[in-house]
Amino acid sequence: MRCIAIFIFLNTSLSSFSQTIVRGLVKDKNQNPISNAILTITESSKNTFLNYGFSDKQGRYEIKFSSLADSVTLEVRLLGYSPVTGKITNETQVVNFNLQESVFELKEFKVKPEPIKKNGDTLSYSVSAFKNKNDRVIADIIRKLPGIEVEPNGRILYQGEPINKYYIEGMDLLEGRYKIANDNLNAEAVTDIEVIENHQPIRMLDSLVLSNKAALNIKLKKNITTTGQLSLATGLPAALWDVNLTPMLFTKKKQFLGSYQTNNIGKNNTSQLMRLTPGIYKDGLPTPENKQDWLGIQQLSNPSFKSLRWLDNNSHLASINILKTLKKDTELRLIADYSNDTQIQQGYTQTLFFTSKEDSIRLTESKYNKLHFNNLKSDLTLQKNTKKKYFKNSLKSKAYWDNQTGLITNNNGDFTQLLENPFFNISNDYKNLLRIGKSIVTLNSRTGFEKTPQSLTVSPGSFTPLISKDSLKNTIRQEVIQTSFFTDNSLQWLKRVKRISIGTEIGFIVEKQKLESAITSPSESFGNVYTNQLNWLNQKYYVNLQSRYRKGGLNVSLETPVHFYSFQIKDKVLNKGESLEKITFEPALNINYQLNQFWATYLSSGSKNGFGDLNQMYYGYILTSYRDINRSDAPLLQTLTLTNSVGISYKNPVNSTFGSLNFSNSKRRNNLIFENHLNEDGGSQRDAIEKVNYNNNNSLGGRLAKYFRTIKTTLTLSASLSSQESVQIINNELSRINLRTFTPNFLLSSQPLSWFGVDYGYKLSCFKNIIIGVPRQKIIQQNHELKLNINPKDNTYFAIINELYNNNFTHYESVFTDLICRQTVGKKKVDLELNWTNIFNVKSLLAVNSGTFSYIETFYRLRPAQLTFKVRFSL
Amino acid sequence: MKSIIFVLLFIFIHFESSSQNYQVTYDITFSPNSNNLNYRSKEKGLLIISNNRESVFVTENFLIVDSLLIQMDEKDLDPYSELDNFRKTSSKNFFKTYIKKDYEKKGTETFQLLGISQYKYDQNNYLKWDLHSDTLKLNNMICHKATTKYAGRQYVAWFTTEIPIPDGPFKFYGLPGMIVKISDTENHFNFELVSFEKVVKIKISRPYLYNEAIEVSQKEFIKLQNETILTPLKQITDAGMVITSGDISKSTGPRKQKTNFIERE
Repeated sequence: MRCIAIFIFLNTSLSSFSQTIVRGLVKDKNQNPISNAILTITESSKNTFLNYGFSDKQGRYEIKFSSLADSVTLEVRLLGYSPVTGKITNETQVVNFNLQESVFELKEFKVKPEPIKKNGDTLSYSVSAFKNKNDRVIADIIRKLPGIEVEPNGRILYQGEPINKYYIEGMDLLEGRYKIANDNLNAEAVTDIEVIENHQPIRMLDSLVLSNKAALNIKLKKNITTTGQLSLATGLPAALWDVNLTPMLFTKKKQFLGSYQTNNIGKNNTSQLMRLTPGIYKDGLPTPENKQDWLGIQQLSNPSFKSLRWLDNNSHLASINILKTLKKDTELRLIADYSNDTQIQQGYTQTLFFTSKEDSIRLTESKYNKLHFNNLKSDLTLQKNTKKKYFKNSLKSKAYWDNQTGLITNNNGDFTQLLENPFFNISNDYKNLLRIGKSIVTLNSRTGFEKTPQSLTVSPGSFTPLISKDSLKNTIRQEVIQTSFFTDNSLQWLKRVKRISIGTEIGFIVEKQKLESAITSPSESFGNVYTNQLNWLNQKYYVNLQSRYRKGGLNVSLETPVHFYSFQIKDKVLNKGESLEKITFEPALNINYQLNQFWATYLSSGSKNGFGDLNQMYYGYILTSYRDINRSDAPLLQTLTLTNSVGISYKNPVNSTFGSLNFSNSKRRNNLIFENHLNEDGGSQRDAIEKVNYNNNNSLGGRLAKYFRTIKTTLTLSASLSSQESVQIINNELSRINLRTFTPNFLLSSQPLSWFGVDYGYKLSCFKNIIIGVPRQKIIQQNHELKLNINPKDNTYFAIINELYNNNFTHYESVFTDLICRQTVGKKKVDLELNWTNIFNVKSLLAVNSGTFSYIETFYRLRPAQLTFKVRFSL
Repeated sequence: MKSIIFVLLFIFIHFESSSQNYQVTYDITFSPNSNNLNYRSKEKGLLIISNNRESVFVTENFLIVDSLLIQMDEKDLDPYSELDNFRKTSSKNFFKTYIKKDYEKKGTETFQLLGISQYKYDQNNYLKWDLHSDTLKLNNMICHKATTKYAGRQYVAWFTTEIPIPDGPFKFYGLPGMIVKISDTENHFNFELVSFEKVVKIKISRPYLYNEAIEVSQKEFIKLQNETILTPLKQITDAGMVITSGDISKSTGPRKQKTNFIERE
């Protein structure tokens, strides 16, 4: 009985909330089913939806709903048909519809658009919105802006692309050397940071040549701002220091930034003066440093890891940057950088020369080198950059008063090397844009003058190769004076025809050089064969046509430059010379093809002619180091290189697998062969003789990377295999030299926890020289690096770095450990940093390198264990 | 701008003799960065309804980027200068999605650019709407309230039966009328209807990169999306490209600017 009562209760309660189901068909007047009609059930009294549904392909619909009302409203609506509405009783039933087409159209409407604030392509970020208590300099803010990243070397990226200009109040004070401002400009002084997207630095090209790069502009709070930075560091064991003082002044018409930095902790602070934006002269390539070192002392090659471990320095750096606005939108800017550095290298090298099939010479040299750099660079620029006119003229000068002293001890005794290698360069870059018809033609011109008066004094001079030893008990002195004048002028324009785009450039280069050299000694006079009085004139006229074709996944580009070369080389004293005229055609073809979403291939092929430079073309001997004497009493070096490469790559981001395989071959034809005479004591003499020979290089490289999602870890495996074949004459024997290298690599990078990350890298490098078919000892070097990063709190950071290095040649092994702790404290946001490098006080490093026919073992004295403590605050 | 869009529509959408087609425009205001939610960005969303059977939702910027790609290929514009134009728009384009809805199948097909690759995935019947009795007058239309949960966010939508099309912006659809306004409860994303216009007969075509797209499931896609954003350069370095300057481990590590995804899961 109780069971029945419960059953009844349940039944009634269900019925009061029970679902009503309305179903049926929706058809048009021809009885064809209509899909996608919207059917709604509303409470008749209110405007509340009970439920809704849609008719399917067969016109069927079904709506379930629950309501206490007696009747509900069923409505069917569909675009292009008249809506139908009806009251139905609240019970499960079938309701069919026949809809009538109607011409009823929905009314169109538009909300009045809000006036959009238009600032062109400029985004403005308010510094106060981004600034927090740990931020001190403007770089700290810039790092946080949406879309901006700052690389460890200071370069700023916007949307992954490097910025092309860094302005302060719209003026380019630093010409791309912006790290010095970014790291030292106090954030308090700045109100906004503007990102100018698609910034074309040349206003005349503003709407004509689109730029994908962004520029950054720093807007200051006050019209007149003085600001800057001061940091001090000191440490143990010796009296270590690291000081940075950088004051700045900005007004509407004038800007100034000065800096003085000094340290002896092994920091190479010239990086602050490194240019980080592209230049505007010709394709934006920065000017190469063209200092020619004719002479040198025997160096110790620097270890390949960070300078704090090995650089024994005492460096001073000063920089002055001034910009002034003249009338008519013309700007005058002066930049002057001065650096003074004394570096000490200590250690020894063991060089193993392979002189023939069986023989080798071992030379041990203990070295103590003192390098002194004393450089002054300046840049005076006048620029006008308006919508109608563009020109820029930079007058640059460089003066280096460098000298080096080297004390060397080898099997034959002690030698002193004194090198004076100053360098003077003055150059002028000019760029002007001309409007010719509808197109703009660019005129580029660069002219420069250079002087390199160098000298090397070796005492005693008795080790000098080629020269009789007995007479040189005192000193021997080599002097070289090179002067050169060069000018490069060109016109560029671009044209496009259908699917092909063609760029044209015509221009000429004139290079006039003079080389004077002589070997002298107080006790001996030398013949003309030890002197040079060389006049060199090189002219080049060129036309370069670049065409490009693309369709779908295929991309073909072809370069067809034609050069006319003319060389006039004359040494009056030695009565030798050469004149040469030659037309070269150096086509290069590049094809890329995307096979499908995972695979892509490429093929490239090209030929290139090369001609010897002044430093490969002199008829008299030059003592280039205390044990090397060289000349090239032969015709001008001419080479023809053919390079072919193919590759295939695979990317599958879905399972995070990436791979690639590349092969490249290059063959070079040389008209000259180097002839080396190695004395038993390690001294060498090099000549060049005319004999056609070929170099052949092959390299194969592969890479495979995979990311494991569950353990947040990337594994990378890569390897490269290469073989280089060349021909040289060593001690009268024609020798084919083959250098083979194999370098497999393994990397693991993992960030398992938000406050903890680990990186591990293993690198093996293996190389072997094969001389005239005789393989020499295989050298294997291994390098392990383990880095642990820990961020327990926002303002605290720890890192432990461990490095293990060993090689089989000397059975050497060492372990390096560094520790870094950083803490930011107080209202004044003072940074405290403790740096403990080389904790286990490893005193030296032994590394092995390979030369063309030699192995060089270098023992380098490292900096001892070092503890520095640094405090940094704003001016 | 108006005329550009008009031209673009011509390129993007093929003509077909059929019945009514509409273009609905939404203003999207949103917070693109999750660690700076006060920073608001704006895009224009276009819902193009063809024949009351299917629709495509894209943003104006997506359309510009896409048609530039087509033009670069078909008309062979100078890839160098167009690339700039491409990147310019691309950087402003947060919603890099092309969403095609099929009313009958009750499903969407999404095409999306992520990092260096393009993806495509299908979703079906993923929305469950709760209807409420609240009403609101928006743009002079009576709108009803509906709520739903999608991909880790709660949404409040306002739809009107005055436009009897069961569609809306982004992936939102399936109400008995057009969605006039929809925003998530945290107000990170807000879509508002600003125009409803009849357009000439159209058929919606696929985006340019469609055929190169890699097919994945929606789950896989979200995983990829979160990875790409956490370590934006990882995909590039994994693919073997070398980042020449600076410390790669730092740039491939987590990024400080975190993208505030509309779809969290």
